[in-house]
Amino acid sequence: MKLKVDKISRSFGKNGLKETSFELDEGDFLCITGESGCGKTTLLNIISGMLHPDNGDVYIDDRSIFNDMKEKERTRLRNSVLGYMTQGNSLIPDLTVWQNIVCPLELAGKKANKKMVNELTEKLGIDNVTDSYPSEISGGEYRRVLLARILMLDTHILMVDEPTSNLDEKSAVIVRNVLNDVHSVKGKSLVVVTHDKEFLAFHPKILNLI
Amino acid sequence: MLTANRYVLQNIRHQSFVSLIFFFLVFIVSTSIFGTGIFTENIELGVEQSGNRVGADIIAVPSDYGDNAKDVLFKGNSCTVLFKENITDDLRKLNGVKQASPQLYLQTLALSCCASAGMQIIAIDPETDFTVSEWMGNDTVQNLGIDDIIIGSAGGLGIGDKITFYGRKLKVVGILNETGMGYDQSIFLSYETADLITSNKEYSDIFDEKTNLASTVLIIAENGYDTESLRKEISDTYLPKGVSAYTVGDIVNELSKQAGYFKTFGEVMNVIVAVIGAVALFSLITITFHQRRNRIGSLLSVGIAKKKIAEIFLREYIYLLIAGTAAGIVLVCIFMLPLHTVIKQALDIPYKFIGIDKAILLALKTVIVNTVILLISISLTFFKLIKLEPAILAEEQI
Repeated sequence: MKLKVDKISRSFGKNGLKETSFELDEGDFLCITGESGCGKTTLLNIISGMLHPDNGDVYIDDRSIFNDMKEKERTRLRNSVLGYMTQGNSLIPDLTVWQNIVCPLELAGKKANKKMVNELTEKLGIDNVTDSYPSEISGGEYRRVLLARILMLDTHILMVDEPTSNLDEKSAVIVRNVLNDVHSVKGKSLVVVTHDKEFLAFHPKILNLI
Repeated sequence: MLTANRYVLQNIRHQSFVSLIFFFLVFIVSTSIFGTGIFTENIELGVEQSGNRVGADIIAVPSDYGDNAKDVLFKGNSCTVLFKENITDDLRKLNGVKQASPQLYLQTLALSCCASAGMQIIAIDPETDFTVSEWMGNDTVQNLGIDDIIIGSAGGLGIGDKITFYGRKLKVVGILNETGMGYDQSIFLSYETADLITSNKEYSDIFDEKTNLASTVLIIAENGYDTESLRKEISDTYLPKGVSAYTVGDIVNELSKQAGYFKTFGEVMNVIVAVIGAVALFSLITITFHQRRNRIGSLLSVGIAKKKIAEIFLREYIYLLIAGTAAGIVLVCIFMLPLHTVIKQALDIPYKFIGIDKAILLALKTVIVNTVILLISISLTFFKLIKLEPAILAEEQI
């Protein structure tokens, strides 16, 4: 599955995303970096169809997500084609960690594979907190639960916003390893917004936003 | 499996304080709408039916007793009132009088050793009665024997039960349908039995051992005869003998006026509570939605359809709405149905239960009002919020 970002921009007052273009082929790993306020998160929001660009368009397999798809289809896209792990505190506070992980699948009417959840939580080191509520877990565990929630969707393209920020080194290593595995073993395409030097050193395709 | 239903129930449990406030607001609005609805409609029906089914056009009462005799008939106030002499036969001879039937009111409280508080004994003439017979709907009145009684619907006795008044053991042979009037708290016996009481030496200080006493005479006018003229004629002719006459229409109008005050008061209270409840519900829903907007954004970010999210939020409020409405209706039923007689006695106007079918309609009205309040609140907040772009809802940074 091919992703094409074509001259998109979106402004928020003085800040925002300046005109940006790139292409992502199947199995690519793109790191996006840049200073605060340059529009890294805005770029992911636009690619995922969660925000309209002021200009430009995003294509998945040559289909414009803003012109050829209605909002309903763009929403469905995030559940089946283009998984997006946001930067914010977006776990549902009334659900347990386990329920948060399976909720994108099960609320969409699909049954979550219990074995897959167990393997994933074990791999991410959060298997001991699956019955806890988001308010009862640490910041590092929270980020890993967010990642598990997106990985459960098993989408072709994965977009991850600052996966290792504010994580201790041990947690950061776990996250890096899992994402690298998703890319190298499962062959998924990844777009990762990061300042993590380990990531930037390991993956040569880097987009530096200004 | 995490279904929408499970999600909603878990959310209600986890957000128990907010859920409880929402439930309580719906409960208050429901109790107010349903409770005041039942109350005012019971009064309305009581007044309407008492006028229709007294059957008389005019009542003649002793003028010395002021409104007491009227109040026995329509309001259930208990008292003993007596004409100086029974003028029923004289009234029958008047032009324009088609039928006249006397009634004798005896208060039970002062003299009986085992009377229920507030019960009124009414002696009727089985041969000429047209009021109690109308409510009974059969020939029990015509067959009333010595010491036989018919008891009002609030009398709390069954057929065959016995009760002692004025030293006489009286047997219940019939139960009157609910009238909404003073009759519900009354015991009816024949003049034959009443004469045995009033002529008894033991009560000579009250009745002077007399028979054929009367407290009121119910009169039906000839067809086409002007009842107001007849009333005036009776009043003018018999005032020296201590008789006042009233048209039933005037009395019912007076009662309707009083009922109207109650109804207006009830409706004003209803509107005030409904408006306060609606504003409070709207505020609560608005605040809750704004608190949860990032949750909506989060669900959208993982590809949950807007329709599904709307369903989840709607379900939560509908469950609480159903629970709050049901609790309000049940509470009103628990208090107002068993306490119907107590409320009736406490009121100074006719009061009759509107019946299950009308109560169900009122319950439906309550559900509809609550649903409309909910839908308006949700439309003005949720559907406005969900129009925002998912990233804005999720409060994602740039």
